[in-house]
Amino acid sequence: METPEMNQPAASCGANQGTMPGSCAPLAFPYVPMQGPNPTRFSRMEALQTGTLFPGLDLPFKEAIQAKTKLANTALVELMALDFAIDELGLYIVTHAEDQEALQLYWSYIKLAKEGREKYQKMYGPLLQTDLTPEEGYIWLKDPWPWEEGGNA
Amino acid sequence: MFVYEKKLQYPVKIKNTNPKLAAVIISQYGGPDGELGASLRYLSQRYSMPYPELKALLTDIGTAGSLSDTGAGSP
Repeated sequence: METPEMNQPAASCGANQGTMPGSCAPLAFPYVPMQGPNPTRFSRMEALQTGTLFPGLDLPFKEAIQAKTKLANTALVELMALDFAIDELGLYIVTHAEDQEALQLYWSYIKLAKEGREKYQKMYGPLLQTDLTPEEGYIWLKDPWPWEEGGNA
Repeated sequence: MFVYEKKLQYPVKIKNTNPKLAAVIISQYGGPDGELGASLRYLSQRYSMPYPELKALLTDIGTAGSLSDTGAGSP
């Protein structure tokens, strides 16, 4: 069992003076994985479930997240998966602008998401306040909102 | 600066409500040392960033922090 005293650095470390040299601070060694070019990718639905598009970045809390949530097969979840993959690729591309394969995939997902949006809107209503809905009138105000029952899955 | 879409970034299923835990989480988002303050700092820091990739990166980090992480939806 750990006692509070065990977590205290030795007096010679001068922790109270603001100095914590190497062997005096053995708490943790932070490590940031460097993402190289052409990393392997999850499918977009797997990415949404896992919380990252890149298996190489799926490091912390691995065991906990392994029990993946079952996601419904709806137009909204499909759009969420596409938008998440687009977010992820966008973050990657910003620092890997020379990766042509990723860029092509990024643009093809954006195209698919545009189609997915139209499909979703026909079924469930506008996603943007500025979406045109002349047949139904101004239905932006219609429930449910995303935080309400039935509004997010 | 941001566009609101009437959908979440990820589906939410609340099995048990827990107001006490919710109070802790909301202060991590919007509280005095929270995500919202941090994200606004990233968005200010980009004005003095000379590298284009990192101007874009700070913009990404700042928008992710201010919108997705605060539960308002995707940026």
